[in-house]
Amino acid sequence: MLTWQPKVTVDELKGHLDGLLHGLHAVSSSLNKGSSHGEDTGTQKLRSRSTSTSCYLGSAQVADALSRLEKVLPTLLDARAELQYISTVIGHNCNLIAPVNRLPNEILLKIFELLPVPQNAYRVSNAMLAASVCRRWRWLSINTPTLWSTLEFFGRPPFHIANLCLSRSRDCGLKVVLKSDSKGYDWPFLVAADMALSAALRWSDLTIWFSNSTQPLVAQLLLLFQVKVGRNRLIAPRLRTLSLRSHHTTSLDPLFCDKLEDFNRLIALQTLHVHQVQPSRALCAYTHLTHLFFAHVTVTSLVDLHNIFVSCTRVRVLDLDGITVSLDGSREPRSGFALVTLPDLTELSMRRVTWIVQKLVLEALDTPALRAFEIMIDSSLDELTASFLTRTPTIDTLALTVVFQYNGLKHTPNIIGALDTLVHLETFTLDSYDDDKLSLLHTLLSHSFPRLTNIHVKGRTRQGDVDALKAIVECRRRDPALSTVRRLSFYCPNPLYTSKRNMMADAEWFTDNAGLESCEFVMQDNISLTR
Amino acid sequence: MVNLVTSDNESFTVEKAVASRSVLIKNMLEDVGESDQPIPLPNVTASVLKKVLEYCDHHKNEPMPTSEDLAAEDTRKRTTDIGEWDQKFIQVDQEMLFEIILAANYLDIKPLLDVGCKTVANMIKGKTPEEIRKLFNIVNDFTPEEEAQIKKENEWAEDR
Repeated sequence: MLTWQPKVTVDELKGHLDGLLHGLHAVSSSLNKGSSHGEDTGTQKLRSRSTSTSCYLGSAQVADALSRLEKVLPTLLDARAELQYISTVIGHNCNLIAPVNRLPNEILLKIFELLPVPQNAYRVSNAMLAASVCRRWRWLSINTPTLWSTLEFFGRPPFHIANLCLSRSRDCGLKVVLKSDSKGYDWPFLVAADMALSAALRWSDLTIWFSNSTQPLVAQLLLLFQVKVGRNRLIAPRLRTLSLRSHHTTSLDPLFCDKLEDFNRLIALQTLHVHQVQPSRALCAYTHLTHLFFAHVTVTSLVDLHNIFVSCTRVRVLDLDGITVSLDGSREPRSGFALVTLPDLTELSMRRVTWIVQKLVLEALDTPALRAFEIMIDSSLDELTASFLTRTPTIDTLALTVVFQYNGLKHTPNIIGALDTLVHLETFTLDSYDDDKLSLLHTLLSHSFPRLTNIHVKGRTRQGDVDALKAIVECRRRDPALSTVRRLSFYCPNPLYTSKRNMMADAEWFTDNAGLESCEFVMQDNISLTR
Repeated sequence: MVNLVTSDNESFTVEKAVASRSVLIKNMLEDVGESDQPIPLPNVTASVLKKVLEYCDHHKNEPMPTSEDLAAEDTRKRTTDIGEWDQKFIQVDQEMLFEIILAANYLDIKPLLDVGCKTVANMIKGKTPEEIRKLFNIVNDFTPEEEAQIKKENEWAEDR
């Protein structure tokens, strides 16, 4: 544990004060001596001169005054330094009794870590802010390597902040963020890469932003990393997370794919984020992955995606957001994929995913340990989704999003029927623009799911939905065989409420009568009633 | 029921479920077994314990955070969001806020410690060093050399 103690005791401070007083006394007596000595001669004459006709000093008198000043100058400078020191120590000791500084170091650090990073600021801006308040906070911040463990390169060299982070993070694992310049300037990226590579063995997370034109640069970086890490056989590389990101849809060229495959031979990655980069066959080699995130990706082939699932059988979290299939890919086989068992998968999310991808996932994945499941309701996949839910009764957290163009819950009777099999369900989230969406689920939510405690409703909401929710809360409270609803949120940015009075009355009912631990009742962007 | 005695010798008799929100007290109760002996809390005053017990009473039916939850929290993105009831509960003066944090730390009540720390983080959010000093009554005790170094570092940060 870090400890911080003031270095100056009261006795030492007293010693410094005595020294200061002594110095000042010496100065004063020296000046007085000069003054009393000169009172008869120099100063008196000066006074008489200044009050009479002349304002000139004799050169001897000036020389005398200068010599006396020269004599006392070192003492004065010493005194000033002493005074500065005393003032610092006093400030320092005042800070010790400030209420916030009664908090031990580990709690202050926790607070520093909790500070949100402002937009367009370095990740280490919080560490820098803390280091600018007082000496204790600075000491604490600078001596906590984890606060300085994000190495970001922005703009052009010299990368001062990155240098600061490299030294202050000491032996800590580094999160490295490298951006290639979309305008085609190679040298800032190469300088940044060179600087980051000096601590290659410490990289724990690597995020690379690139485009089609800068792939050779990134491939070179991967190669240099392999050389650097491969050379040192004594220390194992720490890199476990790789993020490949692009501002525009980018497909990986063969050279880059080769480097990615080589990279995989050296590093047992656990987490892979792919953002706006087309997943390639190279990713099939990443068999150690436990967390796989695809965002805004156009898949060239469903077979490629299926192959990735087949390879990454250790995956625990699979997040698919905004996945589409290219025209070529959509001409390929759409069904008949072999069933893939992902025995460790506990979280599966699909948002803004085209139906063909969703169909592949529902059809081809067997997920016996799944606990959290997020899916878009699509009437054309009613039976498949229902079948998936029925063979996955382990789900305890379910989020259903009903997208308007895919038809609503009214057209998915099989899904509604299959929900009943989720006996472990604790948290249910429904995001839908359907009118009176809860009326369809009212009976289920009132009488099924013995462990359900959290309900979250989003989207366009009518009075009927609120009434249904009230009935659900009441019903479950009366039935001893069912858990009561404890947390509820109701987010509706475009309310179709009949009047504000009703809304207030409902909010009051939920906050005062429903026996909830927490209730968030947001009916418009600017009206929020919470308990 | 459990009897707790504060540093200023005040006694509080509370339900076991409430007192057991504190891991320290829960462990003590498990070690001692069924006993009427009061539990001394030498690091907590009556006024602070009253507030802490108010929090424990409100959250007594919630499941205790498991070690898995705590590990997951560390890996998850940290936020400074605080529940509505907790926000109102923690609206106290600075002196009391820091006392609650210290008591939560001593009594090992992780969720309350989180609420306290998040509140302080929210107070700091968006402020300059000078504003933070003013807020917490901290004196600028940097030497001119340190001040110059800090100024330079902060200028680098603005160059992003």
